Amino acid sequence: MNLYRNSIAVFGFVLPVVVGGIIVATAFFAKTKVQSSFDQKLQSFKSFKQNRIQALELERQLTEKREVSSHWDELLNKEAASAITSNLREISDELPSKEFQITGQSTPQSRAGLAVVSAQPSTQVNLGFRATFRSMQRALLELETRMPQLQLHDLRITPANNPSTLNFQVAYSAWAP
Amino acid sequence: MITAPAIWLGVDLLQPPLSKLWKGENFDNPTSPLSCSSIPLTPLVSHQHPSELNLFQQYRQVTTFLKGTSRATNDGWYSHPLEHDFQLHLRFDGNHFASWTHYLPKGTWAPGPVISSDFITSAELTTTFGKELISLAKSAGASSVGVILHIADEFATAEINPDLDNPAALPELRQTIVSDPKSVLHDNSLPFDEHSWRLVPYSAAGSENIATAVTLSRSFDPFLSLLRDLGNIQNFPIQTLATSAPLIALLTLVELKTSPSHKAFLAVLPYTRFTVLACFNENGDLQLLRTLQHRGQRRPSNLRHAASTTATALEMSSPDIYILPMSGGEDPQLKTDLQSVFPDSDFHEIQWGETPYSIPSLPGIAPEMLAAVRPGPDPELPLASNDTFSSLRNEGWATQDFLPISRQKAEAFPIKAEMRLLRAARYTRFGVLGLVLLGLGWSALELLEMVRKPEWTFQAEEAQVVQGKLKAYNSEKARLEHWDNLLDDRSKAWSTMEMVARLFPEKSGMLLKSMTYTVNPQNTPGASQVGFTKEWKISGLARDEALEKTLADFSTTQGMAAAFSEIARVTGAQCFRSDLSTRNILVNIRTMENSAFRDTPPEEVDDTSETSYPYLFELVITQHFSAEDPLALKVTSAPKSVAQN
Repeated sequence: MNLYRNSIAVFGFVLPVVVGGIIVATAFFAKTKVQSSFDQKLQSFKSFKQNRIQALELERQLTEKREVSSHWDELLNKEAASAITSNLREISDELPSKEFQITGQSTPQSRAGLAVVSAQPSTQVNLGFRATFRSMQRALLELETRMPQLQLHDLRITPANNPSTLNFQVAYSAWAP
Repeated sequence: MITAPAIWLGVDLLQPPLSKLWKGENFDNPTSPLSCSSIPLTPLVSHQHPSELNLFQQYRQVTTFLKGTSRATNDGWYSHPLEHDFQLHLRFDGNHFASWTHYLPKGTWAPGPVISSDFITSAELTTTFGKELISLAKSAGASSVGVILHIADEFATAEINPDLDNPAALPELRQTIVSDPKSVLHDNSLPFDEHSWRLVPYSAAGSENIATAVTLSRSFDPFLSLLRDLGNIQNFPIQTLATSAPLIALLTLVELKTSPSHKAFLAVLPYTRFTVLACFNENGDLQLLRTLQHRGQRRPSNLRHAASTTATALEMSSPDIYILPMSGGEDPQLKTDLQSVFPDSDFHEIQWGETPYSIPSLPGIAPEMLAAVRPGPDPELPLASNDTFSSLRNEGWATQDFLPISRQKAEAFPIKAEMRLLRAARYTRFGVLGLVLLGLGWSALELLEMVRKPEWTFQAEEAQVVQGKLKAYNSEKARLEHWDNLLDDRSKAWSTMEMVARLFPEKSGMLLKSMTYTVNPQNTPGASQVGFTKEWKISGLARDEALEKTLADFSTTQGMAAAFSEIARVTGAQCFRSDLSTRNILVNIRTMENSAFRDTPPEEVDDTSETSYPYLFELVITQHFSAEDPLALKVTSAPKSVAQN
């Protein structure tokens, strides 16, 4: 008697519970995996949203600056010495020749001034003028406005032979892209 | 002393058992059709003995019992035949059958299906009888039937092994004699396998034996087996009980012996083919059972002798004699015979009609049938609490089944506890399934909730695109910031000249001779941003008032810082701001007398003439910008723009 008890215990109780347990465990494992993947996705989505907001803000800022930036790029892409020459020519055309004369222009190879410590490429430009103080200031204001990449690193003002004019020795470092 | 073998030898061996007349075969195999091919018997659930099956096959077989039979729901499969609501009582006295149905809840009796000895030897007739019985039970609203066969055509006793005369071992011997009678009986030459053996205890104190063995042939085994098989086939429980009619008849003595006398008594039970002598001591305890075969006579020829020798052997002097006519009618000669050997005894010849063991309206019902279903006797009766009668009834000695289902066959069927276990397993399976579905549903709902969120459809590529854009924008921003830094107005010629013009305006009493301006960066290897130093060296001439006022102001850091701040305010050039902690200004001024000075009247003074200024001065202004200053120079090269993906 009781000959079926073991088979009932095994196939009636143990097996269903084990199989059920395996199914539930598998489902739980799968769900955990999906949940984990989803959590990662949530994190990515959150990061994506933040990035998007940040990107939109940056895009707005850059759009505002893009016009200036492209102007800079245009200026910077011109060779500095020739740009100075052409700009000075234009500037001198607007000033009385007695009050403003270009006496020299050179582009030494060695670096000087702020450019010495910078890894940014630059060009050295030395300029010589004979001019009145105000004409010279106007000319340099115009030149530095047209070419913001110019950084003054040396300026010498000395009296000229003509008492109404002065000698100016100007040395610039022009940042290049 | 009476020897058991002598008693035994006079009995059944002279009569061929009915089983030898049986026409069928394979009764013990329910899966095999009976030899009578005309009977279409197909079991609902074919089965094998569990020992022939592996664990899974056992489970599959037991589940077929659950699904294909009513064994899980009908307790009739497991009830004792005498506990069934609907019972069929059959009694065979060797000549004819009595067939009565009994409805237990109401205690009613009715004639049962007609049966004759031909039915016992024919599978076809037995099957027809069984079907009729099932139909009858169903029509009575019963869900099962108990078949009680009172075997009244044979009765024999045998002595048990004297070595086993231990009252404490009686329960064990009761089990052993069923499975291994040879080990219990004294005579090893008996036909153990052809007969069924049971014990009847002798409760009387001082008895020579603790019990005697009662045996019946297996003549009715095929009949009862077929009825049980039919029940299995038709999914209708038929439980059988084959009892020895004389043993049940002894139960009636409790209510027949109403006199309180404490005398030993002798019960004489004359059946059609044999007569049973049951000897009881003065306490009413059974001392000896003895059977006398009629051998074709109406009564045994040796009755007087046997009765007197038995009484003498048991030292019963003038016992009360109770004659229980069990063959249908009184036999006056029997009483006369006994009176001749027991002249001083009181004789009680039982008239069944005057006892509780008859139903006047149904005179055919045998006393054994009524005794089998009758509840316990009135406790006031003298023998009600007697050990012999109590144990005969309560311990089931009187109603022992002589022809039970074989162990091999019984084991093929699950027991009630297993069916309950199987049902519980079914509920467990449903429970587990429910839990699994619940778990899966919960997981599915959570997944559904996830899927419905916008994040679910989010593609990593989108993030990459935005990431690329952001990287490009950041790169562009860094490039612009770098160029912003490079192009800051930290050193411009026009503002430097404006500074000079504002520090030394016309008519200020000073005349400038020269001015040198230089810018030098701090050399800090490895730094990404460096400070720088601007230096102005201004030399000129000054008059007294300028020396005392203007140059005196310029000679202090505060005075020069104020002048720088004013220049910054006017020009907007941030490099002249002096209110930042990252900057400092140092001033050094040196004055000396102008040796070329010539004192002239004020109206003749020429402001452009060096001789009109009494003093010479040299002013050195040094302005330091630290690496933390907003105008500090980034020394790295401008980052390259990153293209958007």
